[in-house]
Amino acid sequence: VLIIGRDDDKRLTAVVGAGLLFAVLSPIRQNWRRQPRDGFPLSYYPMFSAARREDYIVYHLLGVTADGERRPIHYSYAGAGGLNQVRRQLRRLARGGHADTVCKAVARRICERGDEALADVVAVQLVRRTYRVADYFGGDTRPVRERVFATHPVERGA
Amino acid sequence: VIGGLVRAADRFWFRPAPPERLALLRVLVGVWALAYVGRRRRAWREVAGTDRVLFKPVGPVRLLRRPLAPAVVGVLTNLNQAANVAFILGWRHPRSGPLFAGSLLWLISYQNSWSMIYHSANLPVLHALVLGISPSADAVSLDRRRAAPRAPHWRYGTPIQLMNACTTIAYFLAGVAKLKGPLGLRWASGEALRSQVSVDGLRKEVLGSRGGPLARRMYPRLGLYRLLAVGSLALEAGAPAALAGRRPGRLWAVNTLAMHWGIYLIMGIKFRYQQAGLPFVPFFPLERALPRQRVR
Repeated sequence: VLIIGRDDDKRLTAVVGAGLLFAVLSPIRQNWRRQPRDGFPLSYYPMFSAARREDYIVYHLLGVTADGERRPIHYSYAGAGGLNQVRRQLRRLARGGHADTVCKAVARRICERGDEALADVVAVQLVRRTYRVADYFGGDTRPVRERVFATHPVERGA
Repeated sequence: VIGGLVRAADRFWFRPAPPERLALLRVLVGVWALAYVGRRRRAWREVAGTDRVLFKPVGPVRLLRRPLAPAVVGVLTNLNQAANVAFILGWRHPRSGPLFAGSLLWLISYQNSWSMIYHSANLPVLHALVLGISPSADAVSLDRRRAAPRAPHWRYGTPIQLMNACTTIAYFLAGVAKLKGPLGLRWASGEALRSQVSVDGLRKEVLGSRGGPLARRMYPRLGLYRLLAVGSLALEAGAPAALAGRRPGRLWAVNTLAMHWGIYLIMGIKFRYQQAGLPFVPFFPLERALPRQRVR
């Protein structure tokens, strides 16, 4: 099954090597497409190439305490993948009308894990927030817009 | 002229290398993959059990219409880990090499089929494919444990050239994507990079994680971002120049490794394979780390 260097055949190795390199280079054409499509393991590596606006929209979870304080909940409560995978999943689920299901599952996991830092959280929200990036890094971390997709109570001992 | 070009291409692609160099690359990439997949076994099984609406297959997984059962993913992971151990040991390499490389491609593609493609895993998969179908177990292996060492040959050098070419093409593509993106050359002004770093830090914080340790402190320093943007764009768009010879290759490798550690310090983004230096070691004579042996 070893192909490269088999029988010291330079032609076979050259064909296989050229084919591989052509395949790795081929996603370059996505840069000229109106709707580029990324893939794996053949990618055109679009990360960091997009132009960012002053405002940034992000879907995330919030824990609400009895006195109304709201603070971020770690993404691992929503899913097992990495941060960016879970972030994209939250966006897709919220847009697809599944926000209630997400909040319910997160509330259940909060009860199961018994994390001290979330002991005072009485409800979970899935929100879409718009932040002004310069303000955020200037110290004002409040969002400029917010939409709550769903809220679900954390029912401990239920 | 054509004859000269063919000879130049022949010298470039069919450059001899000792079998130990390719074999050590097999061991390094194999150990990395074993740790990478091993640490994610549980998480990947959980991911495989998430909502089907999130399934967006990429790569060879596009053959599937619906996700596999989590138990099947577990079996495939076990198969990959077993083949991975054989690959590291160089045991029955003609079978274990392609099996390991193919299963790694499938597994990581499957994990990237849940709404997010992690670009840090492209190179390990491509490198494993090259090592898996080349005679990378002709040294430092169980298959050749009693055999005399073999002499340098192009069959060991060409796979290394292929690995280096895959690496440089990947970086070149990242550079082209920035230059062909909405900002074009303005990407080098530093504002785009600062904006990317800031957004990355912001979303980490609101998703309950920690942003890069330097992102907040660096925000007002646009000049520094400009310097970093120019440097990274030069390393990416100019990556193919690393294939021009040993010195440019090693210079590029060291600087690109430093770039990844810089990204980690500023943004907290881990490119584990890159930070471990694995895409860059094929530019160096690794076999010098081994005791000298008589070649037959």
